[in-house]
Formats: sequence, structure tokens, C-alpha cells
Amino acid sequence: MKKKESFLQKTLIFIGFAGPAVLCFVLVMAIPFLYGIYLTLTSWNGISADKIFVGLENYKAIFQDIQFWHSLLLTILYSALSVIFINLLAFALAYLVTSGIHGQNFFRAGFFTPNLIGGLVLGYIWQFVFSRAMVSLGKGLDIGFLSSSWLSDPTKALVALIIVSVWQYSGFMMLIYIAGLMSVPKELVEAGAIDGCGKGQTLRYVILPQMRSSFVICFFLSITRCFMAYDLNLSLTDGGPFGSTEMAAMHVYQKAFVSKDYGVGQTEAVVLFLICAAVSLIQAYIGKRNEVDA
Amino acid sequence: MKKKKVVGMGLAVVMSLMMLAGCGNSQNQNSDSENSGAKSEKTEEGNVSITLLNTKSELVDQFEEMAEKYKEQTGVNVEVVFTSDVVSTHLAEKYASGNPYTIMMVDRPDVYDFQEYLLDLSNEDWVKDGGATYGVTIDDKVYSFPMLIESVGLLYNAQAIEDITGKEFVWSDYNTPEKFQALLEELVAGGMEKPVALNKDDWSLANHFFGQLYNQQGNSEEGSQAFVDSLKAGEMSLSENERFNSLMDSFDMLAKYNINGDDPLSADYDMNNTYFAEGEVAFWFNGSWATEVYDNTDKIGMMPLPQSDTADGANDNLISGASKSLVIDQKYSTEEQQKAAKDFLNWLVYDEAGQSFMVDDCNIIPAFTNIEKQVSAPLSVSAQKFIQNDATEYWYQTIPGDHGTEVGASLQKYLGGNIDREELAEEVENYWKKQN
Repeated sequence: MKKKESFLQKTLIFIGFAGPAVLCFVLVMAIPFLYGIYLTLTSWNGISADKIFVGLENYKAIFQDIQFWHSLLLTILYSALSVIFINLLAFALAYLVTSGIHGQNFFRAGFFTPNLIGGLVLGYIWQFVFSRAMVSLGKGLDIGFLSSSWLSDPTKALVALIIVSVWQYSGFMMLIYIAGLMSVPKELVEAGAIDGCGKGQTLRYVILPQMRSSFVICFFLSITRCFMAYDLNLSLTDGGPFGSTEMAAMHVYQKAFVSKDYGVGQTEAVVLFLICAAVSLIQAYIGKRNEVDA
Repeated sequence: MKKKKVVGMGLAVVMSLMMLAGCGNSQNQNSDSENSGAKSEKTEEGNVSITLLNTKSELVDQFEEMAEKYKEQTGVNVEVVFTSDVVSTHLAEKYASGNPYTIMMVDRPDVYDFQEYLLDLSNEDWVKDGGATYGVTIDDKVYSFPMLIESVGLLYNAQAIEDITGKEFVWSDYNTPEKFQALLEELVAGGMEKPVALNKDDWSLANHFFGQLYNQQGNSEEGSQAFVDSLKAGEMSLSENERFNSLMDSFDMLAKYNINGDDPLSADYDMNNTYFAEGEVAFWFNGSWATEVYDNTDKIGMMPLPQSDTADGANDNLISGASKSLVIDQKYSTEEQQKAAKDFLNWLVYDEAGQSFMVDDCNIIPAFTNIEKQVSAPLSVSAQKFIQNDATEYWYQTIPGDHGTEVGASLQKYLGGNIDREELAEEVENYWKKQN
């Protein structure tokens, strides 16, 4: 097997193994993406058979769409807060259920469960919680901030969205952190203990540096998910009250399909993609740079 | 080692071939449906098969049953599909993927948007029997079959009112704001703390309640269109408009007695439905489609919203129009399918079973003059009385698709007390100016 393979052989092997995956990727990701970019150059209304070419008009138009920038800012705020709380909670939970507490497997399963419920169903359940259950509770016990529906106030509705996303995603991120915690070599922890590290010091100086790759993955996943949030946005608040919680993905959909301005909507989607890609790449780059090779 | 490699390569090749085969198949299917006219889709019995999109959630069961009966009677297989999506959005997706339905139940503005894909129905018999009046005509061609006539207005639960007042409720005794408010006060004094239910849904607030502003402009298509055009041109100052103020005065009155009063934006359509059906409230601003309100009593009816501006008979005429229409696809459907679809529409209008489906099963108020059947659901009976007495108001339905979300948001702000009437007027004016 030491024999050197010819170029043709290498190509054949590559096609054999990577071919199907590449083909899938091209068919369902690359081609639609390129086609989408073509559509940003047209004034298509989403229905008609002819798509009129307008050049870069749509890119000019999005600068006049104040609502889009508003929803983009809102998305950034929502994502930043969600990502921080998701990862804080996920790491805390992971640390808790690997510390050897009684029934930790049961807790792992329990914390993970919200992730198995689809975003839409989850949104409707929480809608009931926020606008009915909590209101009854608040009125019954006379707690001021619970006695009116959170979903009818712009700020509280955003908080509600963040709470539900944190609840939904932290279980999934917890799994990744558990894997990270378990893969920290035991001898390093023991060595630390022998050198006189307390629990806090072990966590700070031994475990955390070893888990950098878990953090990179979790931040990447939570950032992209939060930026693209749509299903929860739709089912929990539907952009309301009065359009104040309409996030970028939802605005794109509204623009393209409800206002029947597909070209502009698609252009906004491309902008959203660029921002999302930039944020993820920067985050992955910074994270990777200092990674400890275990 | 060598053997393993060969097996591995073999597997990889088989897998990629399978995938290619899969793609190939779906491409074949696509080209099949694109080759309309050349081939026809046949069921096992050799009959034409058509699809029908139903977009009225309260008629899902009725349509399913009708499809079975229709197949027994004619042999044509009608596959009924239901969606609760926004119709135009759903159809835009379907047309983008080249896979629409043969017959589609659409809202009125959709007929204009999708016109290039739709079959010209001008030569059908039913056009003479009312189809021309209520169907959508573009460039002298009729493109839509008026499926049902609906009315928008104030729903009243007469039983709940009579239980408190002790005398028979006749809506025309209360059709001015003063008399109406006196009645509301009487109800409150009689123990019904909040006698009105108001929806917070954007379609209800913007398209139906606020829509009255566009409807009550001379009671004609031209009048409404002229009014909307002046809004688009930015020539209309709403805060000085009598109709706008009259409407919003009535809105304030309803909001004052709203059962969801202290938190109006947490209102829930289903809860409002229950309040009304159970007589916890006496009035609900909605329409004749609310057919799940007969739990306790059949003494339920509709009346126009009492307003101070009585021009165009606003307090006597009920807003009515063909809200849902059937259209036939001509681009992707085969000629047999189009023919079968036309036959189906004729069956609805002229066959005893079709008429019975519309009027008896679905409680639809039919748009066709040849149908003599009377509807039986109390709300429809109430609305049909207005229609038969010619006491109807034109229903302007050509509003843009995002009117609901955008103007709806403004009205929600107003309802929630976040903006005042001046600001509302300004936001609505700005919305229309963007529509050019």
C-alpha cells in the first residue's frame, strides 16, 4: 500500500467518497444560494413568471427600509443576550450534572428535553404560559408585573423571547459542555489537586482552558441559531405587539411574501447572511487562535 | 485490504447512483407536470383527478365529505387540501415550485396578483346568474367564481341582552351611538360588567374594523377606490375626515366596554368566541363566518356598527361582499383538469347536490340568483336578510397584503394606549403613501 497513487486514482477516490455529499450540498445549498443572489438583482414580486432585471436598485432600497434596520438591531440585541445566557446556563448545568450529584442522568435527560420540542409547538405552549397562566397567577397573588400579559408589552415580549430561547437551547449546549468536561484528562485535574488547587481554581486554571473547543462550538451554534430565529418569533409573539418584536428573519419573510417585494426581501436576506457569516467567522477565528492542543 | 477497498468503492458508487436516480425521477415528475396538455393525470379508474385548495378552516370537514360525494356522483376525484397560511403566500410558494392546485380558494386581491396564471371564466353559464356581479373582472374577463358572500359587522347575542333588559332586542332600536351606549350602560348595570369583545388580531382590527373607512365611501367600488387613491397620493388628512373620526369614536366606545379591557392586546380570538357564545358578552365585532357561536342560543344576529356619521346609510347597511373566490389554474393544469374544474363549478351552482353542499352543509350565503335555498345558520340568516333587502354596503377588498400587518400594528398601538388618534392617522397616512 505504500505505492504512490496517480492523480486519476486520487480524483476517483475523492469523487467516490466526497462526491455524494458535494452533490447534495451543491443541489440544495449552493445553487439556491446563487439563484437567490440573482433574484436580488430583479424586481420580482414573488408570483409573476417574468423577473425584471433592475441591477443594484434593491441594494439601494434596503437603506430606506428603516424597519429592516430596526429589526436587525433588535436581532443583535436578542442574540447577544440569548447567547450569553444560553452558554452561562448550559455550562452551569453541565458542571452540575457531571459533578456526581444524585440522579444526574435523569437531570441530563430532563434539561435536554425542551430541545426535542419543535420551536412552533414550544412557542404556542409558552404563549399560553405568558398570556394566561402567568396572568392568572399574577392576579390571584396580586403580583404587579405578572398581572398583565408579557406579550402585550414590547420590552417584556422581547424578554419572553429570550427566556424561551434560553430554555430551549441551553439543554443542547449542555450536552456539548458535558462532552467537553468529560474529556478533560483526569490526571491534569489530579495534578492540580496535588498542587493545592481548590475547586474554583481547578475550574479556572485547569478545566476551562481545556474546554476552549467546546466554547467555540457552542458559541457558533447559538449565535447562528439566534440570528436566524424565526419559528419561535412567529409562534410566540408573531412580531407583536404592534410589530415591535419582528426580527430580521421574520422581516425578510414579511417583505418577500406579504408585502410581495421579493427582490428587496431577498436582498435583506443576503445582508443578514453576510452579517451572520462575518460574526461566526470572527468568533471562530478568535476562539481557535488560542486553543490548547490537548 | 485490496478487497475491502473494492467493496468500499462499489458501495460509494451504488450510493451515488441511487441518489442520481432519485434526482432523475423527481425531474421526470416535474417535466410531466410542466408538459401540461400533453399528458393527463389519470387515476386507476381512468378518471380525471383534480386538486382543490380550501382556505376556510371552518369548512374542512364539509369539503372532505363533499369530495367523497362528488366522486360517487361523477367519478371525478377531487383531492381537497387545506391550509391556514396566508393564501397569497402559500400560493406564491406553490407557483414558485411549479406545483399549484387546479382549483384554489383565494381572497379577492389574490385574483389580481395571480391573474396571469388563471383561467378566463367569462364564458361560463354562472357568470350570467350573479357571477359577473360578485366575481372579479379584469379587462372585461371574469377570472373568479364567487364562492361565498360574507358580512362584517357587530355580532349580537340577543339572548344575553334580553336576559338582562327583559324585552325583545331589535337591533334597529339601537343603531345610533347614543342609543347603543345607553344599552351598554343598561347591560353593565344589569350585571354584565364588560358587554363587548374586541379582537386584537391584525386582520380584524385593520382589514375589517378599519376597513370600514374604505368601504363607507359612497357605497360603490369607484367611491372606495377614489378614497384610497387620495390616501396614496397623500391628499387625505385623516384626522379631519368625518368618517375616520366617527369610526374611531365608535372604536373608543367598544374599547371602553371591552372584556379584555385592561390588557386589550392579550385578547384571544378563541376566548372571545367563547365569551360571546356563552353570553358573557353581548357584542363582538366580527363577521358572518363565526359559526361556532350557537352553544347556548340561536338568537344571534348581525348589525352594522353604530356611528355618528350616518352618510351612505352606515348605520342601516351591512358590509357584504364575496370574500372568498374560486379560481382555476391554467398554467400547470392539463386541459382535462381545467375542464373537470369548470364542471365542478357548474355542479356547485346548478346541481341540487352542489347547491345543498354550499347552502345546507357550509351555510354559505350564495352569490347566485338561481339558487333559491335559504341558509339556516342564524348569523347567515341575519346577513342574508340585509342582502335580500338590498341593505348592503360595498366591501372594498383590494387592500394590499401587508395592510393587515402594518396598519394592524398601528391600531394595536392605539388600542393599547401607546399612541393617540393624531398619531394613528399619521401612521396610516404614511402607510398608504408608501404604496405607490
